[in-house]
Amino acid sequence: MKDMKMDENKLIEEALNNREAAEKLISLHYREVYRYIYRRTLNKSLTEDLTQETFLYALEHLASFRRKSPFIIWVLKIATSFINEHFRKVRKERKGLNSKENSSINDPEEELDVDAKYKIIHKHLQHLPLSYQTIIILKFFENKKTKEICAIMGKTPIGVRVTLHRALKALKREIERSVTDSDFLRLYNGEEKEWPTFSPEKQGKER
Amino acid sequence: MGRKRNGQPFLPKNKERRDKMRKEELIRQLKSIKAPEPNEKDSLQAKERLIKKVRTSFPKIIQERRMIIMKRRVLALAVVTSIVVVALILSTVLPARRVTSAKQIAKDVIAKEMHVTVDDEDMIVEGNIVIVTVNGKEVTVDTKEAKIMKISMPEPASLTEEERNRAIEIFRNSPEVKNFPIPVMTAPPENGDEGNKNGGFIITDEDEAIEKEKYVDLSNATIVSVKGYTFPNGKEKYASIEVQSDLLPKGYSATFFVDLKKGKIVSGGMGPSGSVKPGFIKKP
Repeated sequence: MKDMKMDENKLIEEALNNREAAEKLISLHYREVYRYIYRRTLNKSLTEDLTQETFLYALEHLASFRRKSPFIIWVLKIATSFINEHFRKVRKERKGLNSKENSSINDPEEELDVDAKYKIIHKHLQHLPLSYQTIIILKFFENKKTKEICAIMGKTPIGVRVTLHRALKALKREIERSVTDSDFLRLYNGEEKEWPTFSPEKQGKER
Repeated sequence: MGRKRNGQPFLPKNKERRDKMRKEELIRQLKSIKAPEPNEKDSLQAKERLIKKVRTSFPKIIQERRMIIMKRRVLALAVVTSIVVVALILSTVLPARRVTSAKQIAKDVIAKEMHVTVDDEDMIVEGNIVIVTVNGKEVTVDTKEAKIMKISMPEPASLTEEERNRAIEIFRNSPEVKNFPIPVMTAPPENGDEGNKNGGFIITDEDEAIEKEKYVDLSNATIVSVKGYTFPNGKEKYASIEVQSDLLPKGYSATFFVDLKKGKIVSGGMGPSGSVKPGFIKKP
């Protein structure tokens, strides 16, 4: 583990001026960054663009990497800010167009391979604040540890816990908001054990 | 009381418990969802495209990085410089402003309590304390409390021959001495001596007396005494010059208070010989 870290540090040092080392660094971490961005966007072409932007930015700012956290965490932090910036821009544009349509801020183009439950959750997440989206994806789908989430989101452990609690509350509310009144009443009275929106069939019927 | 379910009232406590259970359920379900894996082939192709881009633009990336470092240095320097400039400005402007405001407070306090206007240059500022000489008295003003702390009378001090001569020279050349106002008043009956004389000085009507004021030149008057004075807080010396002249009413003398440092008369007055004290004389 220590050797790996030393190797990575050496590689980062070399990547400052050596193209091959930079390529090696990209190859090492490309898959993880691509996967994270894909899980956030569910859009293949957008994922490729954002991953490219992330790595180019990381290479340009490599000199400012302080090595306080692993390189991959630093890159994921950059990726998070690029994703959030993109979503913010899209939301602003939609707001500017006075779109009353309460659609998701991202249009997944490739949905065939994606689990239906994930798609539903992803759709609900689109209506939540960006920090809530980030924390839920990192915690439940990227399986990152609190320490890593802290580094990626630039928060303290308490901050992460609070944000996660609020994010779950907001997601629960968002799901409840989207279910029909009868479903909601049944759920409220405890007659419904399962969350109605988790069932893709039911979700399809509603929409 | 809320709705009943299975005979149990729906209490907030139950709601809290239910919320907690729902949250746990949501977490459990989130954990059970399989996160999507991007297509391996797509990801590999995208990586290849990125590596190709890096290959062509690597010198540009290095150049960009240097530019970023340079920009950061310039920015850091600009920030440090602006902080220093602001600190310098504050260190010069704030004390000056504080002194000005202290002087203004002292000025207002003296004007309110003593009905005298003092010049800024006559004031000595020491923190919240302002010391100023007003009508031959040293007034100490506490600007924080906006009140006069104490009024000090001048204390006798010895004068050197040089200081004495300078005081006389200032006295002889002062416009205040050359145009000294004296009131023309009706003399009271004294030992059967009645009539208008410049020796009787009981003012019967102040307005009338002012109307009848006349100016005399006392620059050639006979100097009776030259005494030195100083104040507890001030370092400057003052000279009190008492003169007698035929132009003054009988038995009266004029006393002038000379600021030796500024080379001018700060106050002057007239009264029965030997009774005019510098601290009690009026400004002409």
